[in-house]
Amino acid sequence: MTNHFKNRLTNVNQKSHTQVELKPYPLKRVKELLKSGHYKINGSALDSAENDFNWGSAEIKKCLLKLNSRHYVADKRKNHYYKTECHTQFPNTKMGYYKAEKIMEGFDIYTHFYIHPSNDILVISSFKEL
Amino acid sequence: MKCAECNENLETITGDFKSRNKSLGNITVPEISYTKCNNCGVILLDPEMAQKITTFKKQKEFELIKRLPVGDFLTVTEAKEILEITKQAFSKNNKIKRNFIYNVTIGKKKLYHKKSIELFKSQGDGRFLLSKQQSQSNKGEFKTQYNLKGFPSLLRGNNTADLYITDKSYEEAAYA
Repeated sequence: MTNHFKNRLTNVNQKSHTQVELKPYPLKRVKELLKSGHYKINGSALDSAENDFNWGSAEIKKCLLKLNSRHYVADKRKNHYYKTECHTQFPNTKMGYYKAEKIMEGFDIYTHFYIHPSNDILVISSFKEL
Repeated sequence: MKCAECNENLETITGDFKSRNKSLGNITVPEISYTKCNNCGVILLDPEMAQKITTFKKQKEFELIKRLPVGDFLTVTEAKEILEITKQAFSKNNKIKRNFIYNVTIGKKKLYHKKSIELFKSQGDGRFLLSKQQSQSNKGEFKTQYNLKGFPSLLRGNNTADLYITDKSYEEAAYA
């Protein structure tokens, strides 16, 4: 096992050989980046937000600022944090997955995002109906 | 900056941005800066640019809704009867509030498009293609269904025919 994986596994709770649960996503940092405008939206995420909710980037931002880091499975109506996974392309980068029911205007959303390692910009990869 | 999908370099582009939505079909938004991966095609947009695209699309959509015949619009009372819901349920519906049914405001009255209401009832989304464009077959040509009642030589049976013609040739046909 390489040092890279050894270091990573010190911070994780290994559930099985294939499924690894990381610590909850740093949502506070995500919200800071959103508020300061240091974020980018994937073109397909923007399309699906428009298609599913008729929302633009302003509504996406407003919705993401409402997310909480409590585990979704514990209370699906109030909690939003779903899981964290390692990014497939960027080592040491985590992707945060969230599911939020009736979070804004009565819509249920599913989103995932990550903080880009090279320039500290939040990238919203997906934003669609749950 | 590297692409999240394929780890290739992202390129910053400024110019026309091609997009697509239910109401407008394929649409080109001018003067947009975005980053694109030339390897996998992933596009990343700044919030300002994303908002510019959204505003442009909404404006175009609004212009096209305004062009729909006034006679095709119904009052809230008529709309709720088609949807078989109460006025309260109609006014509280999230999707209706978010303009999933095309509407216009005339004076203080909000009117809803009949076809859009019917689509909303059957599919949960009343948005349909507002422009003539349906599916782009190749550059400069669109597959469009026209009423060809006045052109018997082109008819296929029910006064309509699927034709691959440019707008110019349609105009020429209309005045021939």
